[in-house]
Amino acid sequence: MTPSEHPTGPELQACHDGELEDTRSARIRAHCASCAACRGELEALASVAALLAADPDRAPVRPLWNAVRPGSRGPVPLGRMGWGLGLAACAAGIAAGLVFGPVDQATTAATAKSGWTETMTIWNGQATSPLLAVFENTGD
Amino acid sequence: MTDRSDDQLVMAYARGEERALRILVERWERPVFAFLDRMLGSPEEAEDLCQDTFIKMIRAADRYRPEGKFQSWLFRIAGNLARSRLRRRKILRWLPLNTEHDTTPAPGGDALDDLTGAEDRLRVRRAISRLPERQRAALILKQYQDMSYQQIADSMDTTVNSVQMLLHRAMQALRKDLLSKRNEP
Ligand SMILES: [Zn+2]
Repeated sequence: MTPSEHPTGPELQACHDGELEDTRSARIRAHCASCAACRGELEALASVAALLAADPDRAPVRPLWNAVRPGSRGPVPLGRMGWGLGLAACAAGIAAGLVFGPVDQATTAATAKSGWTETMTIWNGQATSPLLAVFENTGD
Repeated sequence: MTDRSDDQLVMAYARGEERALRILVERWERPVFAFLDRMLGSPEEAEDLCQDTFIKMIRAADRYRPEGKFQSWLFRIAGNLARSRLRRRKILRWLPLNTEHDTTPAPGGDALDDLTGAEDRLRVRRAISRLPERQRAALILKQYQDMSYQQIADSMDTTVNSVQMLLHRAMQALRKDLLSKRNEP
């Protein structure tokens, strides 16, 4: 690497994360010693990582074992959110003239098929147009 | 007893030793909860899905292959559940008659508004919650679980190069979000 050949952003990220081979990492570090721009990039990554590290993990309120051990009575009922979502789904499903099942199946099928699907449309079985277009773009 | 590897514990459980399973659950419940908490921005939902993660893990334990990838396997289960939950939230925000749930925390929104805590910590959590889902997952696994690119790739069903790109984008977004606002009054 000559002084004018700057490593790419993803390469600097991998260097910061200790994911490069030793020789490649050494070259990039040597480049950064004489290149203020790339050095600044690495320093910014370190600053962000330090900020993130200052946010500790939260802990669960109760230990899990009794809820999950085999032979237990199974999962503890969903929290407020779970039920709230379920009820909203049923209400919306009835109002839209369909049961929630097909929506759920369509969702599951799309997820299983494409992994991190960004966008999908759910079709009503009888209709010729999409009933709903759901999912915002969550892609990168 | 507790110094046995994850693989050894899964195998012991498969042979009928329930105590081995308990050690595994107790070893991993906090990391899995913390991952889900950051993915969803809601400790209540994280507890629900943490429970589901371990129930799924236990049901699949007899199909687990002891290749030293337990952590990736476990976080893949947790990640899939988080993804389903986030998608379901979006469906419900789209569906009609859902006005009473307008306060449902949005993955890209201010799900953490009502939480107390240090301002910096809240800012970090908000910034993470605004990342696109895949970037957020990769970032959390790297930053808070200290997983390697290969482990992250295994748990997200993707390649090492893709993980590198996800992390690069995530860190650039966080840098813009956190470092630029840091100097604001
Ligand atoms: Zn440079």
